[in-house]
Amino acid sequence: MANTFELISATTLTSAQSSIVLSSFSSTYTDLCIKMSLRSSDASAFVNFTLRFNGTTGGTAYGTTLLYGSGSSTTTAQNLNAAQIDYGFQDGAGATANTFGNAEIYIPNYSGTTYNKSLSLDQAQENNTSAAYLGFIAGQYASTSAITQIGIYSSAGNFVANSTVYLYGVKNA
Amino acid sequence: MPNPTRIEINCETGVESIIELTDAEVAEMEAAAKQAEKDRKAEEAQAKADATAKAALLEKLGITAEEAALLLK
Repeated sequence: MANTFELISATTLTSAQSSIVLSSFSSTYTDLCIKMSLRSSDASAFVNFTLRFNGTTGGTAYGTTLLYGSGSSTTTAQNLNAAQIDYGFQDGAGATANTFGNAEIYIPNYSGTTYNKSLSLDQAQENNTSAAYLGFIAGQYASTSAITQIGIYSSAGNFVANSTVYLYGVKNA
Repeated sequence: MPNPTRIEINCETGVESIIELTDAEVAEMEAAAKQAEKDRKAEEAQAKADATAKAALLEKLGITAEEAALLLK
């Protein structure tokens, strides 16, 4: 990993949580990168997670465009003017036991106050017994406010124990 | 039964706080889950319908998917 990456926060859940909120991180990096390993307690094999920034609820500030493949087909999906970044992938309780989905989010210029915020997200939902999904997201947070808080929400069930979230600051990206 | 909890991590101090969701937050979460499931089912149905239509068209044309891809190159 490039030496411009600095680990800001490392979290391993010790109990099930509906959401994971990161706050009070420094604004002095140029970009942020989040690496996550997530599994939901929901009975489905495939469960979504969503993202929201700065504690927003409701509203229409977010846009998500998704491209994903399942091994048998490729599909796109889009949700614009929404209340959250959608279409995050994670394993659910119906997926192969002890298997977690993983995702990496890159947020450039998170502390800027002139432009809207964009992000890219690549992710995989692992499942050894049936279809698994690989997806890429282009996301936008239509706000010129600096991102000071990041919320990660399980769309169904709770993130189970041993789910992990690592937040990195990127300098001179 | 207590409501689900969320974890908040203060990255400056490293302090992790477990906070019980309010009833309003639980209701919001459940609504979001229902919507996400509805969206996912709609997307799967659309993908299945598209695949069925594509297969039917290829059969009608009497060509394979590889041959169709060749025509589009």
